[in-house]
Amino acid sequence: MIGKIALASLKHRRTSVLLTLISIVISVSLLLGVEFIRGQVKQSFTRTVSGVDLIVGAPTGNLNLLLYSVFHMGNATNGISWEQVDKLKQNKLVDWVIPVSLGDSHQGYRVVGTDNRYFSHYQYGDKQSIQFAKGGPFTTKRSAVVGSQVAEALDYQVGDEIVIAHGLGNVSFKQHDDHPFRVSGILSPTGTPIDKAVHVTLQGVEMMHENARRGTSRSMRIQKPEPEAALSAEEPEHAHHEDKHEAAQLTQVTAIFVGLTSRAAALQLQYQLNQNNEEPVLAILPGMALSQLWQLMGGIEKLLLGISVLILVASLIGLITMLLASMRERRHEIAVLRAMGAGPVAILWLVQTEALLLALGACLIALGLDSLLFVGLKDFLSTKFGLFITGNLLTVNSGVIIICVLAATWLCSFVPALAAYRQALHAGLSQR
Amino acid sequence: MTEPAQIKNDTSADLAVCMTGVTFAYDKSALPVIDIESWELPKGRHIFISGASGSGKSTLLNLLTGTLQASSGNIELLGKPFSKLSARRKDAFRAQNIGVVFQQFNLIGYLTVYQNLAVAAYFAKNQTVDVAARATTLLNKLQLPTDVLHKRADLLSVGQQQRVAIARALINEPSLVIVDEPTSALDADARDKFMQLLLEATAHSAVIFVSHDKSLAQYFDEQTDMSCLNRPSGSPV
Repeated sequence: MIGKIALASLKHRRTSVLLTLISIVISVSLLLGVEFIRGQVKQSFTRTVSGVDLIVGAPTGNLNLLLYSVFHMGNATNGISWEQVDKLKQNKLVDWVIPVSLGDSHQGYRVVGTDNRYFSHYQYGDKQSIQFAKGGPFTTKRSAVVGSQVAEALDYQVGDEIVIAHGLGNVSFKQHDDHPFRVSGILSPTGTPIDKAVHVTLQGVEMMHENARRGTSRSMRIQKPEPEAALSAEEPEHAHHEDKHEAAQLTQVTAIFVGLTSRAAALQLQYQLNQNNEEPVLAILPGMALSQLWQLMGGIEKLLLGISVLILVASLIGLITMLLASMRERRHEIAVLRAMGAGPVAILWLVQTEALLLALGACLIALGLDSLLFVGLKDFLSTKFGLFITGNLLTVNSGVIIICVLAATWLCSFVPALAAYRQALHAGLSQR
Repeated sequence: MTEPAQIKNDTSADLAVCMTGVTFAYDKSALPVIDIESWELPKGRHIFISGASGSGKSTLLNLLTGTLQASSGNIELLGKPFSKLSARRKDAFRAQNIGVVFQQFNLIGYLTVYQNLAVAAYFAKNQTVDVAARATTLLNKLQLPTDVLHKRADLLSVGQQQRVAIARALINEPSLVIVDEPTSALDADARDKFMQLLLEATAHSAVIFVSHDKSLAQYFDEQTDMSCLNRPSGSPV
């Protein structure tokens, strides 16, 4: 019955109630949205690399190595010699190695020099392997494999020729246009920086830089495939012998992704590598570095959450104000209820029920709105920000937020409820 | 320990109201506005209490319903030591045994007629009463069409609101009905009609009717004036 009265009372004061409802909906939407995005970003973040047990690079900070090798952010301070790759390959603890060479770009997208092991061993998310949407891995030393977003943004198809620029800017004055690459494959979306990368062969990178050193350069171009430019039958065959031929030519790589025969050996090998005196290198455990990085970003996350909480507090103050303002016009209603036998506690509970109904309604609307918003913006977020929305808003965290909002509302509603209680204590039978 | 509400007094069992040495002051330092040495009202009797504005009529009613606590003295209602009950028990007692009709009828405007009646039954925790059936009976008795049950109270005419107010006061079949100047805003015809319906509907209850309009005294078994009942300090005896 109290619920029915509360609901009818809210309906009766629909204008002020609606404004308060909108204000709470906005704040709860923000709170739920920030929490959901935070969860998705964290998920996106931690899913960037998996299945790689160690990352080896030139001595620098743990985070810097992680940022430039996995997230393609920032620059490597130095490279490491190809001998390190060979040494690691020979180590009994090592199952596989993926050398990567960074530092070039294509129309603002990072270029990753690597080999075909990258596509077979590198994993992301929950140990998901990289898949090809079109084409396949490198078939020649001039092959290129583009990430899904690069292909979409630049409208690339298998067989297109691309030219790599030296350096990382969107506009480069030094184009390796004498050494074009041909797209051999387009990757399926992964929700990781891979989508925004152009992968080329290590040999290709080396040759390109060798040519550049000789001073040949032409104007930048991107060519659509010409019939005669189709891959020749010898090229794939040639590619089979690449390891032997080209490895000798390779002198430096930027980082090495290492897979071990047993994950338990990771710390042991990390220690060994970090103690290497011949050529100092830095070996990091990606999982630990990722947690370190996430902790670093925790400040921003907390700031966003703090702002949302402040907005919620402002809304709850609005709710208290609305209920307090209504107390004056409800003096007579309270007197009537008292005369009918309602105790002060019943009056207090009535006011609190109104506040809780309002907050619950706002939470449900906010949940619905946010769900719609994220479904609507799913493609936009993945394309523009590389944020892949998975799952829905009905998570434990959302539940906790809603319970907290209701608890906060309940606590805040004590202010008008106690005013009503006091009014009820002193209310006579007739309020004139 | 015996609960005060359960103590029964043979002499007071036949009384609807028994007040002895009751005083009340809004401010402890001020003189009492109510000072009733002794007053009794037998069950089933209808009494008319007249009095000028400020004579303490409303204060008396608030003491009788327990929304104000007497400064001293005893109030027994329907044989129960009402003034000694805890606030919670007073609320429950009021809900179950006292019906109140206000000056402005004071229906809750945003609730339907049925909800107004159901709220009164809810606070009385009256499980045995079939609210819908009782409401229909009361509306018929008060010559109201039953389709008003689902209309919002604030959409009814004044005449209909009066009758709904009586129905609400009687939904729990109270033994004591308190009526606080309900006719002050009515013309003579409407007033007579209202009185007729009220007294018919409350035939088996004790009624305390308070008004400054002495012409209404003709409808009641007995009448008194606040000046006879209430002798606050300093007033002439």
